Amino acid sequence: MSKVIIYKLERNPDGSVRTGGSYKVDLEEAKRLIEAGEAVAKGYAKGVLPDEVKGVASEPKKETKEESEK
Amino acid sequence: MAVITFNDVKCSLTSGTTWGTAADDASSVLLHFDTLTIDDNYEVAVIRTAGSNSPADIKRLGYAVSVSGGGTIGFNDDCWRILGHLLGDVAAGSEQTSMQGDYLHVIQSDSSTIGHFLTMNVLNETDQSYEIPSIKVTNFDITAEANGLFSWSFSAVGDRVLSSGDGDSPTNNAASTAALSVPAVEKACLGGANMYVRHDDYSTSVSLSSADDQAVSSFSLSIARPFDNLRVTNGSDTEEIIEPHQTDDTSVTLTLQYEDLDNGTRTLRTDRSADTAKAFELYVDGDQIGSGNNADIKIQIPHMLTTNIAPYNVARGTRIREAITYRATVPAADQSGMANISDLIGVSVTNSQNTEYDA
Repeated sequence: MSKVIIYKLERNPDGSVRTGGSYKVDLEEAKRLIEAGEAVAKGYAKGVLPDEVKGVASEPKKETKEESEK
Repeated sequence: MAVITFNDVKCSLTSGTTWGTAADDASSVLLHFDTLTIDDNYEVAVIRTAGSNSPADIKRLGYAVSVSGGGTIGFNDDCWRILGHLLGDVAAGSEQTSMQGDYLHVIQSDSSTIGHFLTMNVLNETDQSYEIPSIKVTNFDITAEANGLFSWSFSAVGDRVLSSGDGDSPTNNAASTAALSVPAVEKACLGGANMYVRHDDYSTSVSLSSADDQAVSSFSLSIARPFDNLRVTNGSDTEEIIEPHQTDDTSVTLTLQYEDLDNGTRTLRTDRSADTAKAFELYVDGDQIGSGNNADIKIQIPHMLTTNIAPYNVARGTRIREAITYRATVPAADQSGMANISDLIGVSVTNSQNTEYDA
């Protein structure tokens, strides 16, 4: 399975959030972390799933929903 | 025409595309700097004549231009453009929080920096400027003491200096450069709640964490690439160097100054004798950008080895200290938490500048 680079979001001692370490993870793991707000994709803003990660969605229904939001 | 004082001196840096051809700085910003030196001189040959100790002539040979300077680091400063051109692998700034303008810039070393050079334009009068069409960055240093500002310095070689006051016709002029904007000033300090300096053994499975935080009084990072200084027969431009190419290995060295010799966790000499590689990370942050992430700077070295332990050298009245110097090497596999860095060093900067530091 192909892997993508994500940056984990880490919390500073004062409560602010920083873009933390970078990890190569499986596409599904990347999707889970990004949707859970625990990571960002390389080169993308928080909450945004890049195409390479979106492509692993196995539920057609979900893809349809995303398309309708555009 | 009016004479300007140092605080009025303005300088722009613009990424070039063709060596020797100046790039238009219309989309650039002004560089914050404290010192700047431009040295342009010809190598000369003194022509002698038989039967006399008095030179008959002086023949101009190759044109040698060098630039150096530095200042204190601000999150938004264009010094990152200089670093980006020295390291060579730069991603466009990506906004971390939608619509908040908190751009993450990832700057990493690459084996080669062919094609990476800058155009520099510096005001020397209110209506005159020096333009160097192409400079190639050779060195970039960052230093800081605990609770002090970060200092940066650089050096570069250039192809030639065009002086508008001497009748040259540079691409950029004083008026266009003077009109450029100045990035918001926010200086970085090696202090504050969210700052850390940490290192531990290189590992593909264990990331650095707060358990690896180190108490150091200062750090010094030095990045250098040795370049050739070559001219070829090229018509009227023969006296100028062609784009420099790297002639020896890139040097990334880090020196940490420890003030406690026996903290029970460091094993500096054992690490050296066992060739135990270390991973290093430094982080400082600044103010929050909009409602997004804070401005920040992160320096990461995934794999470095001990090259020097400073001599035990004490004198009455001084603290017994220990300074260690490490040199970065390429990791065989990704250090955990540094998966995006496959070469010697990565520097990530979050700031409000929507730019790409090598473009």
